[in-house]
Amino acid sequence: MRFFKTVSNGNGSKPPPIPMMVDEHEAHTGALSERIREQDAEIARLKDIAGRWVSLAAVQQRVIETLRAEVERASSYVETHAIALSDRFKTLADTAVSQTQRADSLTKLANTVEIDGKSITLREITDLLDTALHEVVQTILASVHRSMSMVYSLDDVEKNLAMVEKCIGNIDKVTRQTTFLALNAAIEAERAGTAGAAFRVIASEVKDLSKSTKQLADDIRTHIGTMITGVRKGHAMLQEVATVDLTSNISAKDRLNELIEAMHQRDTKVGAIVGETSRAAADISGNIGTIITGMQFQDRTKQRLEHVIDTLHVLSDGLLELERQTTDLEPDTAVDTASQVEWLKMLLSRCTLGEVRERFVASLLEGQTPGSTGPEDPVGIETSGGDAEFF
Amino acid sequence: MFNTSLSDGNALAALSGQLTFTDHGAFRDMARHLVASKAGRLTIDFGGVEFIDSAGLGMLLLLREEAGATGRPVVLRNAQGQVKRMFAVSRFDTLFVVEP
Repeated sequence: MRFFKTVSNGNGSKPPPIPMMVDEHEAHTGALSERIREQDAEIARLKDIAGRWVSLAAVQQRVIETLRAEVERASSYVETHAIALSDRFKTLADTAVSQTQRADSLTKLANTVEIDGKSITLREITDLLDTALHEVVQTILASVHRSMSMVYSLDDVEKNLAMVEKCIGNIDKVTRQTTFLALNAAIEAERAGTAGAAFRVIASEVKDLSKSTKQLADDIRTHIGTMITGVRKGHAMLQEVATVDLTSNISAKDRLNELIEAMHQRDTKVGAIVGETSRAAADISGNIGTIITGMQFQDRTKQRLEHVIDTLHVLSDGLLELERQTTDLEPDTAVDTASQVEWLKMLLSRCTLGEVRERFVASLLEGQTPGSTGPEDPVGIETSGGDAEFF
Repeated sequence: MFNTSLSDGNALAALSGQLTFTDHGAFRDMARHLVASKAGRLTIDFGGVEFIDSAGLGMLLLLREEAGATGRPVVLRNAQGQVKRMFAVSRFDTLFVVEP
């Protein structure tokens, strides 16, 4: 590869002299000498330019090598941390899924209780309480039903006993008439004298019969009275049985309905929150998956950087070839990298990252092999504590 | 207090005040009046009843029993407040025709 032309004829010898007249020859010689001096000055200037060019090429080749090493380092850095980030995001996605599962488990746990090893939902418990309350009320109603039926029966018995009392009153009337009849018969028997003896005996028997009937009626009245008293006591007892205060049952039913409604509302809210959490976790998982997929395209970045590295390598080789060809053409050409120090310092001043600048200094100014020395890049992600460190 | 009326196909008794144990005699007479009718439905209007006790519920169950013997439904209508809650806690809607 050749980047400039030399004014030399190839072997360094001067052109042959041309024969002329003396004056002309002297004049021509002077002009020729002048021209030779000018050519020598031009050659010296070109050598100086070539020297500076070769020096610049040498420095630029080193800069390119340093850049190549830096790009390789950056590519490796990106690759390493992209893999680490992918792993972290996968862990994050798994954590999001686990969190959702724990939320679901917590919801189920909050809505159930363990009884004899069996899981029962709170809704089932309220249903059981409602059923128990209903059974209590039904038992009360059954008791009340029978009690009122018995009350009706006792009412009927009392009415019948009243009718029996009325009948006994009629018997008393008959007994009184019979007693009067026996008394009149006894009077008439006394008037008849001996002839009325048999009639006197019959009147006495009738009198005794009336007395017995009255005694029997009195006994029946006494028993009826006792029965009525018993019926009324039973009536009063049945009233106590039939009159049950159901206020507590109504209150319990109202509280149970409020409890069921509150639980229903809570289930609805919790279900909505868990649903939102699940959807959010699904979104997070989806987004993380997209991020992981995007990070997997880091390979493309690496390929492009490799292309850049290869191009820099070609450029570096080109500059080395230029330097070699130049020194082949002009062995006296001196490579003076020291003259490029100011330019390098200007270049380094544009570098704002400390560790990168240190590596550039080590490579460009101290002559160390690019990529072999210098501070390592900091680890950008802290593995403990979960907090990211920024640089 | 009980007011009864009869119309085609329906026997209606309108109650007011309270329905408690002490009213069982009058209620029984009213129930006999309703059951003795030829009406297909025996309706009791509770719009004027402010309180009913368990004995009152028992009386209604006995009326249902007697009406059921002749295949006729008992309709409990227009219950309000405590009466309505007593019917609800007793699940009378499963035993009677409960109308608002």
